[in-house]
Amino acid sequence: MALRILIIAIVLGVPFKALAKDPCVSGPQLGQRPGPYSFLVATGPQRGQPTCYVCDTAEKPGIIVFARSLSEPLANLLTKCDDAAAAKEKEGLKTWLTVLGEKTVAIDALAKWAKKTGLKSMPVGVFDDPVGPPSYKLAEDADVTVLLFVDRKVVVNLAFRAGELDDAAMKKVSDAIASHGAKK
Amino acid sequence: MTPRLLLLLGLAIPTSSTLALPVPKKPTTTPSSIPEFTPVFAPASVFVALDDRLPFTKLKRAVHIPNLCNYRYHVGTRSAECQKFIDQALGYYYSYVWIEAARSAETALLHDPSCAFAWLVLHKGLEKWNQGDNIAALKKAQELMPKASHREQMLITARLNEKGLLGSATADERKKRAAKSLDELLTIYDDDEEAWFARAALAGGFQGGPVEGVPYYKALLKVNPLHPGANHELVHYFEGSQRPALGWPHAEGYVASSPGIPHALHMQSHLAMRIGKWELTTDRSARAVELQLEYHRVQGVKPNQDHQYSHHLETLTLSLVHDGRFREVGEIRKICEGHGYRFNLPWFRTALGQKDWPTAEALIAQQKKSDKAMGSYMSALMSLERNDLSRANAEVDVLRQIQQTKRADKRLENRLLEVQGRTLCAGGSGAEGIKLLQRVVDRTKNDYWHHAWGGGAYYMETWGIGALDAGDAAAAEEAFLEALAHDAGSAIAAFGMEALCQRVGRTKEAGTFANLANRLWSKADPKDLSEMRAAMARRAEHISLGTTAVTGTTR
Repeated sequence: MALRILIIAIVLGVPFKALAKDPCVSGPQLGQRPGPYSFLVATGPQRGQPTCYVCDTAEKPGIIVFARSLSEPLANLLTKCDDAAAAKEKEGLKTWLTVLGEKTVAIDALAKWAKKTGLKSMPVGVFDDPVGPPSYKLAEDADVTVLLFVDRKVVVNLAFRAGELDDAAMKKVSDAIASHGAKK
Repeated sequence: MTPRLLLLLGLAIPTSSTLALPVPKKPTTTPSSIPEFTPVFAPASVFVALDDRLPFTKLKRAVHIPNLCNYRYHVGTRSAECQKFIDQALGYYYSYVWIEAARSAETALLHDPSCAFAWLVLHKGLEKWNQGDNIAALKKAQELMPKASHREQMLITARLNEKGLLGSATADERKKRAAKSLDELLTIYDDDEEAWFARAALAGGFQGGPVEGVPYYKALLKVNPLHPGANHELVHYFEGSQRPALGWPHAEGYVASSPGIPHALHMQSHLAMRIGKWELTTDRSARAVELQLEYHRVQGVKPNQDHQYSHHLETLTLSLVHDGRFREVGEIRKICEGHGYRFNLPWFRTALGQKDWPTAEALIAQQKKSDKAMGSYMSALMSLERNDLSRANAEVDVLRQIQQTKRADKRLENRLLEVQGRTLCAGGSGAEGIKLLQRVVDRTKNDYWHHAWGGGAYYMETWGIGALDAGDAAAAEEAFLEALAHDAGSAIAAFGMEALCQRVGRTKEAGTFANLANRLWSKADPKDLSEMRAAMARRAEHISLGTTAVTGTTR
C-alpha cells in the first residue's frame, strides 16, 4: 500500500517533503511524569554503577536523551546538552544519554565514543533492554527521543526516526534546551 | 619394606635420607585402590602408607579433566603429563579450588618429581587449602631451582622472598623484595602471565583486595584476555568497589576461560544479580551445580570437602526463586537437604509462591525452634497471603516484642516494619501501612549490599503489594516502578504494574508489562505464573474503578 502511494506520488510529481511521515511519537508526553529507571553508566563518577538519575534529579530540570544508535548528529545533540548543563549548573540542570539495548553498544565502547565526542560532564550509559524503561513507552521507530522535564513533568518531548535529526531538527532541540531550566 | 615404611612403623632410626621430603611415587599404569581392609592395631600413618594416597595432600591422585580451563603455562618439564596436571592445578588455583590445585600439582610431580615449578604450585595450593606442609614444598622448589628455567627461578625467588626464606626481614621488607624480583622478571619477560598474576596478588591480595592490584590484573589481560585468575579477581574487585557493570566483561571472560569449572559459572551471579542480568545467571548457576556434582564424582570429593558448594547451591536457589522457577527450587532443595544445607527463607518464599501452606507451616515450625523472630516474620507473611489478619497481627506483636530487645538489629527492624506495614494495608489502615513500607524502602534503597542477591527490589515490591492491598494506585505505581528501576528483572513489579494498569483501564500498558512479566518468568511453571498473575489481579481489585493513573497523567 505504502509503495503504491509512493509510486503514485512520484508519478504525480508530489514534492518529497509532502510525503514525510507524521512526527515521531515516543516517550512520556507533555505534563506526564518521567518515571524512575536505572541504567548502567559508562562515564563519569557513576561509571559502572546502575544509576537512577531521574531519582537524583527530583524536581530540578533535566534532559534525557534516549538513542537506539550512535551517530554524528547524536554527538552534536549531546554536546549541546553538555554545554547547557555546564551553563545552567546553578539551576541544577542534569542531562544524560541512555542508549537502548545492551547489543547496541557495550559500555566500554560507549565510553570511548563519548570521549571522542568530547563530552565533559554529561554521563552516558546503556539500558540493557532495547524496549527501554517500560513506563516510558519509547517508540520502536524512534532513533532518538529527547525529554526535557522539570518538577517531575515533561515540558518538551521531541522524537526522531533514523535520519531525521537534521539541521532543522537540531535547531528545534537547541532552542528548547536554551530556554529549559531558566528561572522564570 | 622400604626405609620410609620402616620408619613409619617405628622399626628404624631416622637418617638424613629417610627424613628427606616425601617424593611422590611414580604412577603405576593401573592405579591401585585404597585397601579395603583396615589394619586393626596399626597406627593411622601405616594405613596411609599402604594406600596410594599422595604424601603431601593425603589425597588420591587427580583425574585429568579435559576442557576444564583453557589456561596453559609452559614449564620446564619434559613430561607432557606433568605439564597437563600443572595446567589443571593452575586452573583450579585461579578458581580458589585449593584442594584440587594442591592435588593436581602433586599429581604433576608423580610424572616429573624434579619439576621445580610444580613444587611451587603445590606450595601455593597447600598454603591456601591450609593443609599439609606448604613450606616444605616451597623448600623443595628452592632445592630444584638450578634445574628450572630462568623465569621459574625468578618466580620461585620472589616467593622465597615473600615467605622470608631468603633471610629474615620484616613483612614489609619481604614484600618489597618479592616485588623487586617480580619487577625484574616482568622487565625482561613482559609476557610472563604467572609473574603478572603474582605481582598483582602481591600488590592487591586476593578476592577483591585493594585497588593496587588492579593495574597488574589489567596488564595481564593485555597479555591474555582470557586469563582465568585476572578475570576472576576483577569480578571480585568490581563487585566490592560497587561498580558491578565494569566487572561484567570479566565475568564473561572468566566463564570463557574456565568452561568446566563450577566457580566460573557461579561467579557471574555476583554481578548479574546486581545489574539485572537474571536471564543468564540462573541457567549458569544451575550449570555450576551440575559441574560441581560431576566434579565430586570424578575426583571422589565429599561435599563437605568442597568449600564452594553450599554457596553455589544457595545462589542457585535465590536465583530460581527470583525467576519463579519454583519446581526447580524443590529439586535443588532435595540435594541441599541431603548434605544438611538449609536455606529456609528462600524455600519458604517458594512455598508462598506455590501456595503450598503445609510446606510453609513446616518451615515456620522448624524456624521457630532456632530463631523465633524469623519464624514469626515468616508466619506473619504466610498469614497475610492467606488473609488471616488476626494471626498476622499476633505474629507482628511477637516480632515487635523481640525487636524491643534487639534494637541494634536493623534487619529485624526492617522485617518488622514490612509485616507491620503489610498488615495495616490489608486491615484498612492503608495510608499508615504504606508509610511504614516506604520507610523500609528509604532505609535500604541506597544500601549496595542489600542489593546483593536480588534483595534490592524486595522491599519496593512489598511496598507495591501493600499499596495494592490498600487500594492506592498512585503509591502502588510508584513502588513498582521504583522496583523495576532498581531491578530491571523484577517480575513481581511487572506483574503488579500489569494488574494495576489493567484495573485502571490502561490496557496497552498492561500488555507491555504482561510481556515483560512473561519474559522474566519465561522458565517458570505456567501454573505458578498464572497464579502470580491472578493473585496480583485480585489485589488490584482493591483499587476503585475510575481511579486515574500516575505516570500516564498530569498529577
